[in-house]
Amino acid sequence: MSGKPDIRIWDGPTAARVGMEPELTRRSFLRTGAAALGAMAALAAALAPLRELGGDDMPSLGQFLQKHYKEMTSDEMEEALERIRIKVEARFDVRPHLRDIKPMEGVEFVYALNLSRCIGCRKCVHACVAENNQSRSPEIQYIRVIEMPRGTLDVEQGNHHYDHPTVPDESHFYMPVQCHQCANPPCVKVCPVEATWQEADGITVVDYDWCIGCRYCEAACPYWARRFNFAKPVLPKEQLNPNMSYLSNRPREKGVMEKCHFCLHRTREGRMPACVEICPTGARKFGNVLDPRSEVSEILRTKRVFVLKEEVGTLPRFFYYFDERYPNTLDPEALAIAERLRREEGDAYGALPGADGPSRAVVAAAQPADWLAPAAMPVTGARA
Amino acid sequence: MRMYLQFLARCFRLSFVGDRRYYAWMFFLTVFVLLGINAYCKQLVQGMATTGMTDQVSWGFYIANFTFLVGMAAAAVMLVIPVYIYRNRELHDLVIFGELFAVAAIVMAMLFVTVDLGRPDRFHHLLMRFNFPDSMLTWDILVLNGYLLLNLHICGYLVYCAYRRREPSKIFYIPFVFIAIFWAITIHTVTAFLYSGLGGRPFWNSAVVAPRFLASAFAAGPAFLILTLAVLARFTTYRVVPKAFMTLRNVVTVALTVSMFLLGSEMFTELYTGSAHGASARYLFFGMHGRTALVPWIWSAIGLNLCAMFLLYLPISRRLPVLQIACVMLIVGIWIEKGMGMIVPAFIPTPLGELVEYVPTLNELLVTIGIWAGGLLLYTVLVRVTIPVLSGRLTFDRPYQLPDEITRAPDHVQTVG
Amino acid sequence: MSPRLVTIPLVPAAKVDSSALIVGPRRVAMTDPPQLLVEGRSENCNACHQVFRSSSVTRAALSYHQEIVLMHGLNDRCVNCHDAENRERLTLRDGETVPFADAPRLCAQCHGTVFRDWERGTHGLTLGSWITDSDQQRRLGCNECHDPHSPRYPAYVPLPGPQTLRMGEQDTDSAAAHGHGKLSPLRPRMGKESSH
Repeated sequence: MSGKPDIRIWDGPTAARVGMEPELTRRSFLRTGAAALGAMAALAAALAPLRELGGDDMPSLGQFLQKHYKEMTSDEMEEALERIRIKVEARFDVRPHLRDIKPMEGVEFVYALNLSRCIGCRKCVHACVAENNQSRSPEIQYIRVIEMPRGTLDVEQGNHHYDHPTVPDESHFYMPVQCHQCANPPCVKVCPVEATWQEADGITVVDYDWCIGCRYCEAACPYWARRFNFAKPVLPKEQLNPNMSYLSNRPREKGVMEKCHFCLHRTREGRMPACVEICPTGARKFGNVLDPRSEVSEILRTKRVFVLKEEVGTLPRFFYYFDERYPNTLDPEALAIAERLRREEGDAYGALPGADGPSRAVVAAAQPADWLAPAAMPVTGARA
Repeated sequence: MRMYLQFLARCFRLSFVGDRRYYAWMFFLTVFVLLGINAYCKQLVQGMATTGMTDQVSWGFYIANFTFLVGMAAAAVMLVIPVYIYRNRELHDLVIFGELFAVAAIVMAMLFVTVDLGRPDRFHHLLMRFNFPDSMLTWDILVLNGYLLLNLHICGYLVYCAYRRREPSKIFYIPFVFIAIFWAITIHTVTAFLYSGLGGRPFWNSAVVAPRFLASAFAAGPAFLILTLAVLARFTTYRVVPKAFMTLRNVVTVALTVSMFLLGSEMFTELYTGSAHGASARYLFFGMHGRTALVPWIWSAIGLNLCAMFLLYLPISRRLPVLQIACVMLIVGIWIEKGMGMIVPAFIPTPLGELVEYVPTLNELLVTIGIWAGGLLLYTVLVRVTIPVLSGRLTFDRPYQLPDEITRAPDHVQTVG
Repeated sequence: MSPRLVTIPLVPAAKVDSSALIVGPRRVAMTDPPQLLVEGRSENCNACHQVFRSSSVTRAALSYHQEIVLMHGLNDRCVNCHDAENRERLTLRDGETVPFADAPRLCAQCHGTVFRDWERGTHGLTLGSWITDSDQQRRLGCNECHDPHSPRYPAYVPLPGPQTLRMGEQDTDSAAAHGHGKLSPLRPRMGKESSH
């Protein structure tokens, strides 16, 4: 034994055998070392998939330190926009026209949808996709068109996956659903990091650079309006829409939420959303409810509008209504009258009074009396 | 401070000490932890599409396990009440095992939430913009972390005092213990409010969600503790008094009865009227339009729970083997009922009436098992370290002593503890 | 596909022809004065109609203009809308004639409610801008959507339905999958058998 006292931490089975000297320390050291090395090798093997992480999967320092949208100064926003432009250009070979557009003053957007006119063609669904740079695979579509049987508004009786050779199908009506930009939005309430909020013009927006992907908002939405990027979005270069804004249709990354934003990169500059313009029947109406002369104000004043799931209390800004004719298929009543008149009138059928045709008396017998009066109709000039 | 660090160092080293069975168990767990890490790395690279979740069913297995584990963590308090309120001194040590379990369960729960995030690299956003008090998730983050700290403090303090061979000073732990009773109820109530506050999900939008959660937690948690104590009694030198088992058995029986009653109440309310509000319940219990994936699960869960309840009421369950079987049955039953039977059906059908079913993928299962293995690993280490301290074999002034064997160092060797 | 990673069941994107997504009026309304292609040349109506006698009043009697499909419900006499004297004008009920550009006044005589809605902007398509009376706003006229002889919309071929991640098998047949239950007064007695 050397002169120095033998001091060591007294622990472990090697030291605990009765009466034994701790003379196996070197072996135990090697054993421990081997075990540790083995463990580290196993851990490295476990972590191997991380090697597949691409350059644009990892956030850059600028992105990591980027502030919340509401806290960014205009310089910081410009920096963030430039980061995004560079990324988009690298990925799509197109320099995007990307900006941050603020809401217009005195505007609150409202949407109205005429269920008598929707024919279920799904052009709105695909126009939205063409406009807003969603992932094509996995597929993300903000709008769902539900084929509903007559006599109910219970969406559970509807079908999202109808596939007729032509539409509309005569025993159904069609109800498209997208984000309603609710005035009392449950999604905004539940987001833990305030990545989604409602702007002054009523649009509920998502800051894609702030969202942590917890999907609580998706669980909270009563209209199933929110979408999550479960994988890296796939968007072919030629289908990129380069007209973008920060809060709307710039390309998103995996792991963040997105949803309909009323095409704010168009609407905040006065244009119509893509879904409104593509609708072949004009079933979709959009505008500023604070303007009493707008189309949507007219609809809210004169049509029997309703909202979906009103009992949940979300106060949607998306109203549905039916016109006088329901549904938008051949009105069976009209056909029945036409058949009867054809039988009764014979050759004279179809002539209106004033032209060559049957006497007024015959026609009066077939139609209500006040229909005959060619009143001076207040025809104002065509607005087209 | 130096002594505390030494204590931690000794605990760390002690966790690698054990017999062959211990090493086998730890190795087994470590394998699954590594598999879980591997699976999670794949998820990080490819996104949440490696799981079975979809826009239609956007919360699945991870959140199901999270919910179950928050309940288990809350149940630790059920041991605190008999000991501290009813002054049942013999069960004193059980409190520590229960609270250590709470620590492991909370850590597991928090890991489950983390792996469920689409962008875990943005965790720091929670510190910068925190939507408190509107978002129940923020409440949940606060109470879970608070509960973790509370339990770490109580256990750490009591164990360290035992290590230092000094009487714990009441002011440093008694108030915290009573806070923990209240806090345990809070964590699971807040977790329940996460779900029951959503008007758009009628299956969750029910007042009975919070009481159901608590009742099932107070059945499953102590049941797990019974199993743990049985393991300790078998594999370690720690003596477990029969009274501990019996007290826990009583707690479990009452809690399970209440839980089954609340389940029955929920079933009646959802199914009696035939309204649209009960669509998810109809899907869960009977299937809908040919979609029946969850039907065998929920009925198995109900069957298991009823059998366990039946067994627990019989005197035969005073015998440990039967009691353990009943515990396993009810833990599995409650895990199914609370996890797959509570979280997933709320998404089917979707608020727009679409029916898309959910099946966890292999990757998702591996991550889940990995987290469970990690939690059990943590709990094993905590218990493995605590028992010697509490039985006086690991103290500051002596080297570690094997049970029933006192070893002394040879005289010429000076020892430093 | 790296062996280190998981296979994700991705569905290829739905193919949608961009011609289905063109924004603009469905039809080109008739010019004013109205013109037709005759043997490769664009001619005014009166080039023929001031020369030839054309007294047909029904579609069946027409010997020219065979491409016209007349399916306007009760309104099946040509002279209800077209001025018998001057084919380049449309006729109102009180005998007044209007140019083709004022066709909505004609439609308004029978379709008063629709015309009222159209004037308000609640019927028909508005393109360009939601800002009332803005320069960019364009309201389409009746004939830019409706064929005046056969105004009812033709059937459309629906664009592809949703194909989302892990959607599973979905029933495309609405009646089989959903619809009213056996007790409902709306059970499938309504629907297919009520019309034609």
